[in-house]
Amino acid sequence: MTTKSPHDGLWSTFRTPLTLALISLAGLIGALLAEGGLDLILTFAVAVPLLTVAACVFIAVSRR
Amino acid sequence: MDARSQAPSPRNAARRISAPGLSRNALRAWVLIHKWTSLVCTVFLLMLCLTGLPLIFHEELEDLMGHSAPLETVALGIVPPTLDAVVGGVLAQRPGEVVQSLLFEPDRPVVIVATATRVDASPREAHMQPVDLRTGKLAPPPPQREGFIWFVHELHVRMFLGLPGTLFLGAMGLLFLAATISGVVIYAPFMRKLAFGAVRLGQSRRLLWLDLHNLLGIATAGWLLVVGVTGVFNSLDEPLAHQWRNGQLAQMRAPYANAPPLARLGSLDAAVATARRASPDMEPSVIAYPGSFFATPHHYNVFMRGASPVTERLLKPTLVDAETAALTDTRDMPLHIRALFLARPLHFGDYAGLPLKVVWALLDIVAIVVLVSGLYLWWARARVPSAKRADDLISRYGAERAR
Repeated sequence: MTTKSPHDGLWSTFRTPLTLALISLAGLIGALLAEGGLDLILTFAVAVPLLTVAACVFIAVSRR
Repeated sequence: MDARSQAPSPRNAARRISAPGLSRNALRAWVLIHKWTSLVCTVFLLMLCLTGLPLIFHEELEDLMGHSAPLETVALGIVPPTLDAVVGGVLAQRPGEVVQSLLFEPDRPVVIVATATRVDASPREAHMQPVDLRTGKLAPPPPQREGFIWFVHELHVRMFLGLPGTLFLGAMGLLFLAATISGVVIYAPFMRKLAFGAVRLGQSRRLLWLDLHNLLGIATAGWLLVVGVTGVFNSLDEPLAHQWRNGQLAQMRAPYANAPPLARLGSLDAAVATARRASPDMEPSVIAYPGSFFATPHHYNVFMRGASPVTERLLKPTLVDAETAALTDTRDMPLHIRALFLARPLHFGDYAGLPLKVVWALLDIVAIVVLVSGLYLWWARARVPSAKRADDLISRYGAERAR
Protein backbone atom coordinates (compact mmCIF):
# COMPACT_ATOMS: atom_id res chain seq x y z
CA MET A 1 0.00 0.00 0.00
CA THR A 2 1.22 3.44 -0.82
CA THR A 3 1.97 5.69 2.12
CA LYS A 4 2.77 9.35 2.29
CA SER A 5 5.72 11.18 3.70
CA PRO A 6 4.98 12.52 7.18
CA HIS A 7 5.84 15.98 5.90
CA ASP A 8 3.15 15.91 3.26
CA GLY A 9 0.41 18.43 3.91
CA LEU A 10 -3.05 19.28 2.66
CA TRP A 11 -1.77 19.94 -0.86
CA SER A 12 -0.55 16.37 -1.12
CA THR A 13 -3.98 15.12 0.02
CA PHE A 14 -6.05 17.33 -2.20
CA ARG A 15 -4.00 17.87 -5.36
CA THR A 16 -5.36 14.80 -7.19
CA PRO A 17 -9.02 15.32 -6.19
CA LEU A 18 -8.72 18.99 -7.09
CA THR A 19 -7.24 18.16 -10.49
CA LEU A 20 -10.01 15.65 -11.15
CA ALA A 21 -12.68 18.15 -10.14
CA LEU A 22 -11.19 20.87 -12.37
CA ILE A 23 -10.93 18.57 -15.40
CA SER A 24 -14.47 17.35 -14.87
CA LEU A 25 -15.84 20.87 -14.41
CA ALA A 26 -13.99 22.08 -17.50
CA GLY A 27 -15.69 19.27 -19.44
CA LEU A 28 -19.11 20.09 -18.00
CA ILE A 29 -18.94 23.81 -18.71
CA GLY A 30 -17.10 23.35 -22.02
CA ALA A 31 -19.76 20.97 -23.36
CA LEU A 32 -22.42 23.50 -22.42
CA LEU A 33 -20.69 26.41 -24.14
CA ALA A 34 -18.97 24.80 -27.11
CA GLU A 35 -20.36 23.89 -30.52
CA GLY A 36 -21.21 20.23 -31.17
CA GLY A 37 -17.84 19.16 -32.65
CA LEU A 38 -16.05 19.11 -29.29
CA ASP A 39 -18.73 17.18 -27.41
CA LEU A 40 -16.90 13.86 -27.39
CA ILE A 41 -13.62 15.26 -26.03
CA LEU A 42 -15.45 17.28 -23.39
CA THR A 43 -17.56 14.26 -22.41
CA PHE A 44 -14.31 12.34 -21.98
CA ALA A 45 -13.11 15.10 -19.61
CA VAL A 46 -16.30 14.67 -17.55
CA ALA A 47 -15.57 10.94 -17.38
CA VAL A 48 -11.96 11.34 -16.15
CA PRO A 49 -12.90 10.90 -12.43
CA LEU A 50 -14.72 7.67 -13.30
CA LEU A 51 -11.72 6.37 -15.24
CA THR A 52 -9.45 7.28 -12.33
CA VAL A 53 -11.65 5.40 -9.87
CA ALA A 54 -11.68 2.38 -12.19
CA ALA A 55 -7.88 2.52 -12.45
CA CYS A 56 -7.45 2.74 -8.67
CA VAL A 57 -9.71 -0.26 -8.08
CA PHE A 58 -7.96 -2.20 -10.84
CA ILE A 59 -4.54 -1.49 -9.31
CA ALA A 60 -5.75 -2.51 -5.85
CA VAL A 61 -7.17 -5.78 -7.15
CA SER A 62 -4.12 -6.62 -9.26
CA ARG A 63 -1.71 -5.94 -6.34
CA ARG A 64 -3.61 -8.17 -3.96
CA MET B 1 7.10 1.63 15.37
CA ASP B 2 3.51 1.30 16.56
CA ALA B 3 1.76 4.53 15.78
CA ARG B 4 -0.75 3.93 18.54
CA SER B 5 1.97 4.00 21.22
CA GLN B 6 3.02 7.38 19.86
CA ALA B 7 -0.51 8.76 19.77
CA PRO B 8 -0.70 12.01 21.72
CA SER B 9 -3.57 12.96 23.98
CA PRO B 10 -6.49 14.70 22.22
CA ARG B 11 -5.31 18.02 23.65
CA ASN B 12 -1.83 17.58 22.18
CA ALA B 13 -3.33 16.31 18.96
CA ALA B 14 -5.55 19.36 18.72
CA ARG B 15 -2.47 21.54 19.16
CA ARG B 16 -0.65 19.59 16.47
CA ILE B 17 -3.43 19.74 13.88
CA SER B 18 -4.03 23.43 14.36
CA ALA B 19 -1.42 24.06 11.67
CA PRO B 20 -3.64 23.02 8.73
CA GLY B 21 -6.38 25.12 10.29
CA LEU B 22 -8.54 22.39 11.83
CA SER B 23 -8.73 22.24 15.62
CA ARG B 24 -10.00 19.27 17.60
CA ASN B 25 -13.37 20.91 18.20
CA ALA B 26 -13.64 21.97 14.58
CA LEU B 27 -12.92 18.44 13.35
CA ARG B 28 -15.47 17.03 15.78
CA ALA B 29 -18.03 19.55 14.51
CA TRP B 30 -17.33 18.64 10.86
CA VAL B 31 -17.71 14.93 11.66
CA LEU B 32 -21.07 15.63 13.30
CA ILE B 33 -22.17 17.82 10.40
CA HIS B 34 -21.22 15.10 7.92
CA LYS B 35 -23.00 12.42 9.91
CA TRP B 36 -26.28 14.20 10.52
CA THR B 37 -26.68 16.03 7.22
CA SER B 38 -25.99 12.75 5.43
CA LEU B 39 -28.35 10.71 7.58
CA VAL B 40 -31.24 13.14 7.20
CA CYS B 41 -30.99 13.48 3.42
CA THR B 42 -29.76 10.02 2.36
CA VAL B 43 -33.16 8.39 1.84
CA PHE B 44 -34.36 11.31 -0.29
CA LEU B 45 -31.07 11.50 -2.17
CA LEU B 46 -31.29 7.79 -2.90
CA MET B 47 -34.78 8.34 -4.29
CA LEU B 48 -33.53 11.28 -6.38
CA CYS B 49 -30.57 9.28 -7.74
CA LEU B 50 -32.73 6.25 -8.57
CA THR B 51 -35.47 8.29 -10.24
CA GLY B 52 -32.86 10.49 -11.94
CA LEU B 53 -31.40 7.48 -13.71
CA PRO B 54 -34.35 6.87 -16.10
CA LEU B 55 -34.92 10.62 -16.40
CA ILE B 56 -31.44 11.03 -17.93
CA PHE B 57 -32.65 8.82 -20.79
CA HIS B 58 -36.25 10.08 -20.89
CA GLU B 59 -36.05 11.01 -24.59
CA GLU B 60 -34.74 7.58 -25.56
CA LEU B 61 -37.29 5.85 -23.31
CA GLU B 62 -40.15 7.91 -24.73
CA ASP B 63 -39.02 7.00 -28.25
CA LEU B 64 -38.87 3.36 -27.20
CA MET B 65 -42.40 3.55 -25.78
CA GLY B 66 -43.62 5.20 -28.99
CA HIS B 67 -44.61 8.45 -27.28
CA SER B 68 -43.09 10.66 -29.96
CA ALA B 69 -44.20 9.31 -33.32
CA PRO B 70 -41.74 9.86 -36.19
CA LEU B 71 -42.65 12.64 -38.61
CA GLU B 72 -44.00 11.67 -42.00
CA THR B 73 -42.04 12.47 -45.16
CA VAL B 74 -43.32 15.62 -46.84
CA ALA B 75 -43.07 16.41 -50.56
CA LEU B 76 -40.86 19.33 -51.55
CA GLY B 77 -42.60 22.59 -52.27
CA ILE B 78 -45.54 22.03 -49.94
CA VAL B 79 -46.72 25.30 -48.41
CA PRO B 80 -46.73 25.13 -44.59
CA PRO B 81 -49.85 26.37 -42.81
CA THR B 82 -49.88 29.64 -40.89
CA LEU B 83 -49.77 29.52 -37.09
CA ASP B 84 -53.30 30.90 -37.02
CA ALA B 85 -54.40 27.92 -39.15
CA VAL B 86 -52.51 25.51 -36.88
CA VAL B 87 -54.22 26.94 -33.80
CA GLY B 88 -57.60 26.90 -35.59
CA GLY B 89 -57.11 23.24 -36.44
CA VAL B 90 -56.37 22.35 -32.83
CA LEU B 91 -59.33 24.34 -31.43
CA ALA B 92 -61.64 22.60 -33.92
CA GLN B 93 -60.67 19.33 -32.22
CA ARG B 94 -61.05 20.77 -28.71
CA PRO B 95 -64.45 22.50 -28.61
CA GLY B 96 -65.03 24.70 -25.57
CA GLU B 97 -61.31 25.13 -24.94
CA VAL B 98 -58.95 28.07 -25.46
CA VAL B 99 -55.24 28.19 -26.26
CA GLN B 100 -52.86 28.83 -23.36
CA SER B 101 -49.51 28.58 -25.11
CA LEU B 102 -47.49 27.22 -28.01
CA LEU B 103 -44.21 25.42 -27.44
CA PHE B 104 -41.89 24.98 -30.44
CA GLU B 105 -39.78 21.82 -30.26
CA PRO B 106 -36.12 22.76 -30.77
CA ASP B 107 -35.10 19.76 -32.88
CA ARG B 108 -38.18 19.04 -34.99
CA PRO B 109 -40.70 21.11 -36.99
CA VAL B 110 -43.33 20.45 -34.35
CA VAL B 111 -45.28 22.84 -32.17
CA ILE B 112 -47.16 21.71 -29.08
CA VAL B 113 -50.38 23.62 -28.57
CA ALA B 114 -51.59 23.71 -24.95
CA THR B 115 -55.35 24.17 -24.57
CA ALA B 116 -57.60 24.26 -21.51
CA THR B 117 -61.11 25.28 -20.53
CA ARG B 118 -59.75 28.61 -19.20
CA VAL B 119 -56.70 30.50 -20.38
CA ASP B 120 -55.49 30.91 -16.79
CA ALA B 121 -56.04 27.25 -15.83
CA SER B 122 -53.19 25.36 -14.20
CA PRO B 123 -50.72 23.92 -16.72
CA ARG B 124 -51.53 20.50 -15.26
CA GLU B 125 -55.10 20.84 -16.57
CA ALA B 126 -53.88 21.61 -20.08
CA HIS B 127 -54.18 19.29 -23.06
CA MET B 128 -50.98 19.12 -25.11
CA GLN B 129 -51.48 18.69 -28.84
CA PRO B 130 -48.40 18.25 -31.07
CA VAL B 131 -48.83 19.58 -34.61
CA ASP B 132 -46.54 19.12 -37.63
CA LEU B 133 -45.63 22.66 -38.68
CA ARG B 134 -44.98 21.58 -42.28
CA THR B 135 -48.44 20.14 -42.88
CA GLY B 136 -50.62 21.29 -39.98
CA LYS B 137 -51.49 17.65 -39.25
CA LEU B 138 -52.20 16.78 -35.66
CA ALA B 139 -49.90 14.11 -34.21
CA PRO B 140 -51.10 11.68 -31.53
CA PRO B 141 -50.69 13.45 -28.18
CA PRO B 142 -48.24 11.81 -25.75
CA PRO B 143 -49.71 10.30 -22.57
CA GLN B 144 -50.45 13.04 -20.05
CA ARG B 145 -50.22 12.53 -16.31
CA GLU B 146 -49.74 8.81 -16.75
CA GLY B 147 -47.03 6.33 -17.63
CA PHE B 148 -43.64 5.42 -16.22
CA ILE B 149 -41.74 8.61 -17.17
CA TRP B 150 -44.47 10.86 -15.76
CA PHE B 151 -44.53 8.86 -12.50
CA VAL B 152 -40.74 9.00 -12.13
CA HIS B 153 -40.65 12.71 -13.00
CA GLU B 154 -43.36 13.57 -10.47
CA LEU B 155 -41.55 11.62 -7.78
CA HIS B 156 -38.20 13.23 -8.64
CA VAL B 157 -39.48 16.81 -8.84
CA ARG B 158 -42.45 17.02 -6.48
CA MET B 159 -42.93 13.69 -4.68
CA PHE B 160 -46.60 14.12 -5.73
CA LEU B 161 -46.85 16.98 -3.20
CA GLY B 162 -46.81 20.00 -5.51
CA LEU B 163 -44.69 23.01 -4.61
CA PRO B 164 -44.18 21.97 -0.94
CA GLY B 165 -42.67 18.69 -2.20
CA THR B 166 -40.33 20.55 -4.54
CA LEU B 167 -39.19 22.95 -1.82
CA PHE B 168 -38.69 20.07 0.61
CA LEU B 169 -36.45 18.31 -1.92
CA GLY B 170 -34.59 21.60 -2.38
CA ALA B 171 -33.97 21.64 1.38
CA MET B 172 -32.71 18.05 1.18
CA GLY B 173 -30.41 19.25 -1.60
CA LEU B 174 -28.98 21.89 0.74
CA LEU B 175 -28.30 19.18 3.35
CA PHE B 176 -26.65 17.09 0.64
CA LEU B 177 -24.37 20.03 -0.23
CA ALA B 178 -23.46 20.38 3.45
CA ALA B 179 -22.76 16.62 3.60
CA THR B 180 -20.54 16.80 0.50
CA ILE B 181 -18.55 19.81 1.72
CA SER B 182 -18.11 18.34 5.22
CA GLY B 183 -17.09 15.05 3.59
CA VAL B 184 -14.33 16.84 1.68
CA VAL B 185 -13.16 18.52 4.90
CA ILE B 186 -12.92 15.29 6.92
CA TYR B 187 -11.36 13.47 3.96
CA ALA B 188 -7.98 15.00 4.88
CA PRO B 189 -7.54 13.36 8.31
CA PHE B 190 -8.79 10.05 6.92
CA MET B 191 -6.19 10.19 4.16
CA ARG B 192 -3.21 11.40 6.21
CA LYS B 193 -1.54 8.03 5.92
CA LEU B 194 -2.85 6.86 2.60
CA ALA B 195 -2.13 7.96 -0.92
CA PHE B 196 -4.97 8.99 -3.20
CA GLY B 197 -6.92 6.00 -4.46
CA ALA B 198 -5.73 3.51 -1.84
CA VAL B 199 -8.21 0.64 -1.53
CA ARG B 200 -7.34 -1.76 1.29
CA LEU B 201 -8.41 -5.17 0.09
CA GLY B 202 -7.97 -8.23 2.29
CA GLN B 203 -8.56 -6.40 5.56
CA SER B 204 -11.91 -5.79 7.19
CA ARG B 205 -15.04 -5.24 5.11
CA ARG B 206 -15.57 -1.92 6.86
CA LEU B 207 -12.13 -0.64 5.83
CA LEU B 208 -12.79 -1.66 2.23
CA TRP B 209 -16.09 0.23 2.15
CA LEU B 210 -14.53 3.19 3.94
CA ASP B 211 -11.83 3.40 1.25
CA LEU B 212 -14.38 3.03 -1.56
CA HIS B 213 -16.65 5.65 0.06
CA ASN B 214 -13.71 8.07 0.32
CA LEU B 215 -12.39 7.36 -3.17
CA LEU B 216 -15.74 7.54 -4.97
CA GLY B 217 -16.85 10.54 -2.95
CA ILE B 218 -13.73 12.65 -3.41
CA ALA B 219 -13.25 11.72 -7.08
CA THR B 220 -16.78 12.78 -7.98
CA ALA B 221 -17.08 15.65 -5.48
CA GLY B 222 -16.98 18.26 -8.26
CA TRP B 223 -19.83 16.61 -10.17
CA LEU B 224 -21.81 16.02 -6.95
CA LEU B 225 -21.53 19.70 -6.06
CA VAL B 226 -22.61 20.83 -9.54
CA VAL B 227 -25.63 18.52 -9.61
CA GLY B 228 -26.49 19.43 -5.99
CA VAL B 229 -26.28 23.20 -6.52
CA THR B 230 -28.23 23.09 -9.82
CA GLY B 231 -30.81 20.77 -8.22
CA VAL B 232 -31.39 23.22 -5.37
CA PHE B 233 -31.61 26.06 -7.89
CA ASN B 234 -34.11 24.12 -10.01
CA SER B 235 -36.30 23.55 -6.95
CA LEU B 236 -36.80 27.33 -6.86
CA ASP B 237 -38.18 27.29 -10.42
CA GLU B 238 -41.79 28.07 -9.49
CA PRO B 239 -41.12 30.80 -6.89
CA LEU B 240 -38.69 32.44 -9.33
CA ALA B 241 -41.32 32.32 -12.10
CA HIS B 242 -43.79 34.12 -9.81
CA GLN B 243 -41.12 36.62 -8.84
CA TRP B 244 -40.31 37.32 -12.52
CA ARG B 245 -44.01 37.71 -13.36
CA ASN B 246 -44.53 40.22 -10.53
CA GLY B 247 -41.27 42.01 -11.31
CA GLN B 248 -40.00 42.35 -14.86
CA LEU B 249 -43.24 41.33 -16.61
CA ALA B 250 -45.24 43.80 -14.48
CA GLN B 251 -42.79 46.56 -15.48
CA MET B 252 -43.07 45.64 -19.17
CA ARG B 253 -46.88 45.80 -19.10
CA ALA B 254 -46.98 49.06 -17.12
CA PRO B 255 -48.16 51.17 -20.14
CA TYR B 256 -51.28 48.97 -20.30
CA ALA B 257 -52.16 49.35 -16.60
CA ASN B 258 -55.39 51.25 -17.35
CA ALA B 259 -56.08 49.85 -20.81
CA PRO B 260 -59.61 48.58 -21.55
CA PRO B 261 -60.04 44.80 -21.85
CA LEU B 262 -58.92 43.15 -25.07
CA ALA B 263 -61.68 43.54 -27.69
CA ARG B 264 -60.54 40.80 -30.07
CA LEU B 265 -57.59 38.50 -30.48
CA GLY B 266 -55.42 39.55 -33.45
CA SER B 267 -53.29 37.40 -35.71
CA LEU B 268 -50.70 35.18 -34.05
CA ASP B 269 -48.59 35.19 -37.22
CA ALA B 270 -48.47 38.99 -37.17
CA ALA B 271 -47.38 38.91 -33.51
CA VAL B 272 -44.59 36.44 -34.29
CA ALA B 273 -43.47 38.57 -37.26
CA THR B 274 -43.23 41.57 -34.90
CA ALA B 275 -41.16 39.56 -32.41
CA ARG B 276 -38.84 38.39 -35.22
CA ARG B 277 -38.31 41.97 -36.34
CA ALA B 278 -37.45 42.96 -32.76
CA SER B 279 -34.90 40.11 -32.42
CA PRO B 280 -33.80 39.21 -35.96
CA ASP B 281 -31.24 36.58 -34.95
CA MET B 282 -33.65 34.67 -32.75
CA GLU B 283 -36.44 32.13 -33.18
CA PRO B 284 -39.71 31.80 -31.25
CA SER B 285 -39.52 29.17 -28.53
CA VAL B 286 -42.72 29.65 -26.53
CA ILE B 287 -45.76 31.86 -27.10
CA ALA B 288 -47.94 32.64 -24.10
CA TYR B 289 -51.49 33.71 -24.94
CA PRO B 290 -53.11 36.84 -23.45
CA GLY B 291 -54.39 36.15 -19.94
CA SER B 292 -52.15 33.14 -19.35
CA PHE B 293 -49.58 33.00 -16.54
CA PHE B 294 -46.58 34.16 -18.58
CA ALA B 295 -48.38 36.84 -20.59
CA THR B 296 -50.53 39.87 -19.79
CA PRO B 297 -54.28 40.32 -20.45
CA HIS B 298 -53.41 42.48 -23.50
CA HIS B 299 -50.37 40.77 -25.01
CA TYR B 300 -48.98 37.75 -26.65
CA ASN B 301 -45.65 37.08 -24.94
CA VAL B 302 -43.33 35.62 -27.56
CA PHE B 303 -40.29 34.09 -25.84
CA MET B 304 -37.42 34.14 -28.32
CA ARG B 305 -34.33 31.96 -28.20
CA GLY B 306 -30.90 32.42 -29.79
CA ALA B 307 -28.93 30.13 -32.07
CA SER B 308 -25.67 29.59 -30.16
CA PRO B 309 -25.23 26.71 -27.68
CA VAL B 310 -25.74 29.11 -24.79
CA THR B 311 -28.36 31.52 -26.15
CA GLU B 312 -30.59 28.70 -27.40
CA ARG B 313 -31.20 27.92 -23.72
CA LEU B 314 -32.01 31.51 -22.78
CA LEU B 315 -35.42 33.04 -23.43
CA LYS B 316 -36.09 36.67 -24.27
CA PRO B 317 -39.67 37.81 -23.57
CA THR B 318 -41.28 40.01 -26.23
CA LEU B 319 -44.63 41.61 -25.45
CA VAL B 320 -46.72 42.15 -28.57
CA ASP B 321 -50.12 43.87 -28.46
CA ALA B 322 -52.56 41.02 -29.06
CA GLU B 323 -54.96 43.26 -31.01
CA THR B 324 -52.70 45.39 -33.19
CA ALA B 325 -49.49 43.25 -33.26
CA ALA B 326 -47.49 46.34 -32.24
CA LEU B 327 -44.33 45.80 -30.19
CA THR B 328 -44.76 46.90 -26.56
CA ASP B 329 -41.45 45.83 -25.01
CA THR B 330 -38.67 43.25 -25.22
CA ARG B 331 -35.92 42.69 -22.66
CA ASP B 332 -33.31 40.19 -21.60
CA MET B 333 -34.39 38.29 -18.53
CA PRO B 334 -32.73 39.07 -15.17
CA LEU B 335 -29.40 37.39 -14.44
CA HIS B 336 -30.77 34.91 -11.88
CA ILE B 337 -33.44 33.70 -14.32
CA ARG B 338 -30.82 33.22 -17.03
CA ALA B 339 -28.70 31.32 -14.50
CA LEU B 340 -31.75 29.10 -13.84
CA PHE B 341 -32.06 28.33 -17.57
CA LEU B 342 -28.37 27.35 -17.67
CA ALA B 343 -28.65 25.32 -14.46
CA ARG B 344 -31.20 22.93 -15.99
CA PRO B 345 -28.87 21.20 -18.48
CA LEU B 346 -26.10 21.06 -15.88
CA HIS B 347 -28.46 19.12 -13.62
CA PHE B 348 -29.84 16.72 -16.22
CA GLY B 349 -26.72 16.23 -18.37
CA ASP B 350 -28.79 16.25 -21.56
CA TYR B 351 -26.80 18.78 -23.56
CA ALA B 352 -24.09 16.81 -25.34
CA GLY B 353 -25.74 13.74 -26.76
CA LEU B 354 -25.89 10.12 -25.66
CA PRO B 355 -22.20 9.75 -24.57
CA LEU B 356 -22.62 12.45 -21.91
CA LYS B 357 -25.89 10.86 -20.80
CA VAL B 358 -24.07 7.55 -20.31
CA VAL B 359 -21.32 9.27 -18.27
CA TRP B 360 -24.02 11.09 -16.28
CA ALA B 361 -25.74 7.77 -15.53
CA LEU B 362 -22.43 6.22 -14.39
CA LEU B 363 -21.77 9.21 -12.12
CA ASP B 364 -25.31 8.83 -10.79
CA ILE B 365 -24.60 5.16 -9.99
CA VAL B 366 -21.37 6.22 -8.23
CA ALA B 367 -23.43 8.66 -6.15
CA ILE B 368 -25.76 5.79 -5.20
CA VAL B 369 -22.75 3.71 -4.10
CA VAL B 370 -21.43 6.64 -2.03
CA LEU B 371 -24.82 7.02 -0.31
CA VAL B 372 -25.26 3.31 0.38
CA SER B 373 -21.67 2.86 1.57
CA GLY B 374 -22.11 5.88 3.84
CA LEU B 375 -25.19 4.26 5.36
CA TYR B 376 -23.28 1.00 5.81
CA LEU B 377 -20.36 2.78 7.50
CA TRP B 378 -22.74 4.56 9.86
CA TRP B 379 -24.53 1.30 10.66
CA ALA B 380 -21.22 -0.54 11.22
CA ARG B 381 -20.03 2.03 13.73
CA ALA B 382 -23.38 3.13 15.09
CA ARG B 383 -22.51 2.01 18.60
CA VAL B 384 -19.31 4.07 18.75
CA PRO B 385 -20.09 7.67 19.78
CA SER B 386 -19.17 10.21 17.11
CA ALA B 387 -17.14 12.24 19.64
CA LYS B 388 -14.92 9.20 20.19
CA ARG B 389 -14.59 8.75 16.44
CA ALA B 390 -13.46 12.33 16.11
CA ASP B 391 -10.92 11.74 18.92
CA ASP B 392 -9.74 8.60 17.09
CA LEU B 393 -9.27 10.64 13.95
CA ILE B 394 -7.39 13.31 15.88
CA SER B 395 -5.18 10.71 17.53
CA ARG B 396 -4.41 9.07 14.20
CA TYR B 397 -3.84 12.42 12.57
CA GLY B 398 -1.66 13.65 15.39
CA ALA B 399 0.34 10.40 15.52
CA GLU B 400 1.11 10.75 11.85
CA ARG B 401 2.38 14.26 12.33
CA ALA B 402 4.33 13.26 15.46
CA ARG B 403 6.34 10.65 13.58
